[in-house]
Formats: sequence, structure tokens, C-alpha cells
Amino acid sequence: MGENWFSKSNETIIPGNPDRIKAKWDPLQYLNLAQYLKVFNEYPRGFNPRVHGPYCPWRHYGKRDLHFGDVKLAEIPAWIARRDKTSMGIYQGGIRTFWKFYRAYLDNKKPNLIWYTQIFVVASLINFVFFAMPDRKQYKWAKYH
Amino acid sequence: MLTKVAHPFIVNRASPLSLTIRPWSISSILFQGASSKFKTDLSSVNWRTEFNGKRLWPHDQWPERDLVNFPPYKLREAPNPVRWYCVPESWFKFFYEKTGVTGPYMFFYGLLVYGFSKEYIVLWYDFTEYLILAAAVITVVKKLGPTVGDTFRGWHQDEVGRYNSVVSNSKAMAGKMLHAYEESLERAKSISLLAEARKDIINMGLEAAYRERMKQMYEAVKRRLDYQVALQNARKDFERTNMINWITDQVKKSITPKQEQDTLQTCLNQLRQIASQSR
Repeated sequence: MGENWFSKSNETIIPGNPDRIKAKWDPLQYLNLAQYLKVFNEYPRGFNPRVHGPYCPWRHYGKRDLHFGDVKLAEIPAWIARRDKTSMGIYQGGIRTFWKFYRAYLDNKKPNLIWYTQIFVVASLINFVFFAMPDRKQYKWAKYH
Repeated sequence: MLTKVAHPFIVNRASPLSLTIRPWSISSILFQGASSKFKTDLSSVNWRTEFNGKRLWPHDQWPERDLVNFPPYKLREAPNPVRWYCVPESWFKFFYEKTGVTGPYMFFYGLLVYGFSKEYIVLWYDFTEYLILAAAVITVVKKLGPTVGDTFRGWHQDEVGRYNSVVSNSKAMAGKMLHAYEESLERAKSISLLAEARKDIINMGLEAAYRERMKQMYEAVKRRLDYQVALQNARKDFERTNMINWITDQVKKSITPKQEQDTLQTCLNQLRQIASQSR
């Protein structure tokens, strides 16, 4: 039964399987960068579809921890120590941040251009703080403030 | 972004490719001990969508599904609320308990004033341009923003409606066709009514003719009977008149002159008596 082309255990027929594509002229033989991207193409560790349902990339599926707004000032070092600071954890946090932003401003029935404005403002601030301010220091009106 | 692809499936029996070296992912090599514990093996899940004719939902298949903490996905109606077109409201809510309503406002205006006073924001000759640009942008966005948004959303809704209207139109057409079929069925019934009406008319005509002929028969019989009655009456009448005339003639003939004198004398005597009595 596993020999059917549609069987889940028959990996030979899955489209895009590099083992199946044997042509020498196919760049997949010598330029297969997807093998390095498989690292990023995995579910988080605490995800179980039987409990959590379909995968939502904006959710954290690990152990439930305090929101940054609820943590007290004295507990901040302990809170930071509890976070997953591996490269994979940081990567997944970044993915979650992006998807939260997407869901907040783009994944709705009445979108507007606030997402664009926010990106514009952040980019402007970065430019101002790191590039324009050092330039402007030459044009200061006073030496001591 | 990147969507998940399943782990390489673990075949539990000898497969034609089991002799080759299966390429595991790098994460499996790095987290070899951990991933075998936490990895979810989805190949053993039986994906039933129907059972006994009823549609199965995930909460029917997986009783351990946590719908309270992980509710199903719902498309949001509106984006997060925002102040000054770039600062989210959640920041204002977060600082409300600690600083009150004017907290974030004071923070941002204070940053501005700090920048001016410490000359992090240098007031050079292009500052006027930036000021006027800000005012112009704010005015334009406030005046034209909602209109432009509604226009774009209208165009988008038209495109979405082109897909959704297919189903609505087919439903409407189906309803209209059903109405037409029902109407034709009623018309079919009304045809039988017409036939019945025609039958009734014919029956009424037949009844009228029957009654007409009954009347004719009655009149004919009555005529014959009246004739017989009139005949008998005429016979009787003739006999009576003949007898009366014969009897009176005979009596008149038999009256002698002596009898006539006698009767006259008796009548006169009676009259004298009455005259003497009545006085």
C-alpha cells in the first residue's frame, strides 16, 4: 500500500524531491540551496497540531511566560534568563514579530497605510540617529549645552 | 514567509530505497537527541473528514484540541488602533496606569524639546522645509485619506464580489427557475380545470335539452288528455241540453187549456189569501 504515488510514505514521488530529479543539467544537482533552507522550514518545538490546531506563525508554542508589559523591573534579568536565546529561538522570535505586525495591520478586512507609515518612521529615525545626526554636528550653533 | 514542510517520513518496513543514505535535515543532525523526543510524527494520523455520512471536524477527531487557549483562526475586521498615524494604542494603554493620559504625549514632546535643547536636532536652514512638509502631509492625509482608502477598498470589494456573485447569482437563478417550474405546474392544473369547465358547459346544454324535451312531452300528453276531457264535456253538455229542451218542449206541449185555467185560479186564490193575511 505504501508503493502508491500518493502514499505519504513514498518519498520518491513528492514533487521537488531532489533525489528523484537525476538530470545532470538540472542546477538542483549542483546548486541545491534548499538543503540549507530546510533548517528554517521547521515547526517550533512545542507545536502539536492535535492540541493547537493549524499552525499560526504569530503564536509562541512553548511554555507560557509573562508578557513584557506585566514583568516587574526587578524580575527583568530573571525573565531574560528564561528566554530562548539560541539562534533558532531568536530567528523564531523574529518570525513571530513579523507575523504579529502583519496580523495587526495587514491581515484584516479594512487595511490602511499605517504599516507603511510605521516602517517609514522607523527608517527615518534610524537614518536620523545614525547618519544625519553625526552630519549635523558640524552645523551646531553652540558648543556647550 | 516560509511554510512548514513535514519531516522526512520514517518508513517502518523495508523499502526499495532503504539501502540509500537518506539525507536528514541539518536540524535533525544538530538536535538529534532532542528532535526525536519532540518531533511530531504526523504519518500515523488518520485524516478522516467523514464518518457515517456526517462531516467530522478537528474537535471530533482530536479530543485533546485546546480551543480555549488556541482558538481557530479568524480574519480580523480592522487594524490595530493607532495615534498620530504611527504610534499604537497599546503603548498608550500600557503607560496609562503609570503616567496617566498625558504620559506618552509628554514623553514624545519631551524628546523633541530635549533634542532641540541639546542640539541633537540642529535648526539649520532646511528646517522650514521639513516643518511645511509635515504640515502639508498631515493636511493631505487628513483630507484625502479616508476617500482614497474607501475608493481602493471599493475596487477591491468589486473584485471580490466578482467571485462571490457567482454563487449568489446561481442561487438567484435557481430560485427563479424553481418559481417558473411551480408556475408551470399550476398552469398544468388549471388546464384540467378548463377541461372540467368545458365538460360542465356541455352537461348543462344536455340538461337544458332534456328539460326542453320533457316539457314538450308534457305538453303533448296534456293536449291529448285535454282533448279527451273536452270531448266528454261536450258530449255531456249536448246530452243535457238535448234532454232539457226535449223535456221542456214535451211539457209545454202537454199543457191543456183546462189545466192552464185551473192553475191560474189556484194562484189567484193563494194571492188573495196572502193579501188578506199580510194586512
